[in-house]
Amino acid sequence: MAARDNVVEMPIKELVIERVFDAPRERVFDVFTQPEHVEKWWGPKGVSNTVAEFEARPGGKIFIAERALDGATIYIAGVVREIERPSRVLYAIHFADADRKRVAPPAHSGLGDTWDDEIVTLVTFSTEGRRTRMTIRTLSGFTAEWGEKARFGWAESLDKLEHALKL
Amino acid sequence: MAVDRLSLTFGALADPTRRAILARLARGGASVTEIAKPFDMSLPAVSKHLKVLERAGLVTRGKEAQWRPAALEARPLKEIDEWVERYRVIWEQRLDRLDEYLKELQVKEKRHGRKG
Repeated sequence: MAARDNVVEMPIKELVIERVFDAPRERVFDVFTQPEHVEKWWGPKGVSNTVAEFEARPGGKIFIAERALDGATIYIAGVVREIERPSRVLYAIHFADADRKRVAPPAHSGLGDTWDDEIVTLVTFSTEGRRTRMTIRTLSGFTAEWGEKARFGWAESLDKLEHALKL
Repeated sequence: MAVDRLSLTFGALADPTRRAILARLARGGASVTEIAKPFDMSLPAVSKHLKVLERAGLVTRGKEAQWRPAALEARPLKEIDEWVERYRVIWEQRLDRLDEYLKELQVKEKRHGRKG
């Protein structure tokens, strides 16, 4: 069994993004989890309008519509799995249509049209003096579950793997 | 296309034993017997997992009937990597906006505070 427990060398990059905000933790948490705030920042560059629902409780529904500048609307639906103000929120989302039904991911997502997994995201908030560090860990369902167990220790780069394969 | 492959890859990786097998193969090619050894698993069980990994393109098998060494195939893993990178860009942009928005809120609050 020991051998199995040591399996942390998987060569898949985990998506970890960290950002320090010049605001108190409660404020950053609320801006991340309250829909009237989410609408203001969720859309990436080139998105003109975002409408959000975010029920900040376990089992709460998430529904976000982003309208890109080219007029196309992308819908994202999901559920809040765990939420603890002001320290962490764990949620799972998938691509949807206007009626919140699951649809294949849009082409630009790079996920392909047979994708039927959830994108699970864990966001943690920690205090650093007067500032707040937000850490976002995101991947598909299996890696998030796996990552929790492996304590996200497998974040080996593929370069490293390729190097190992050559040895 | 990356499409079917990515789902297949994620599916194959969903099982902890298969991830363990891949981690073993990342250290070098191995026979079914060699793979089975540290895991206390039957040879047919290992073969079954290898078949799933092979179907997902994560593992290639040698041609020799008895030996059939398995080796890790890195390409599907690279596709996941590429997806992760694409998603990172989206998040960085979102966080830029979040940062700006937090600053706006702060300015508004200060103004409000003065008036009150």
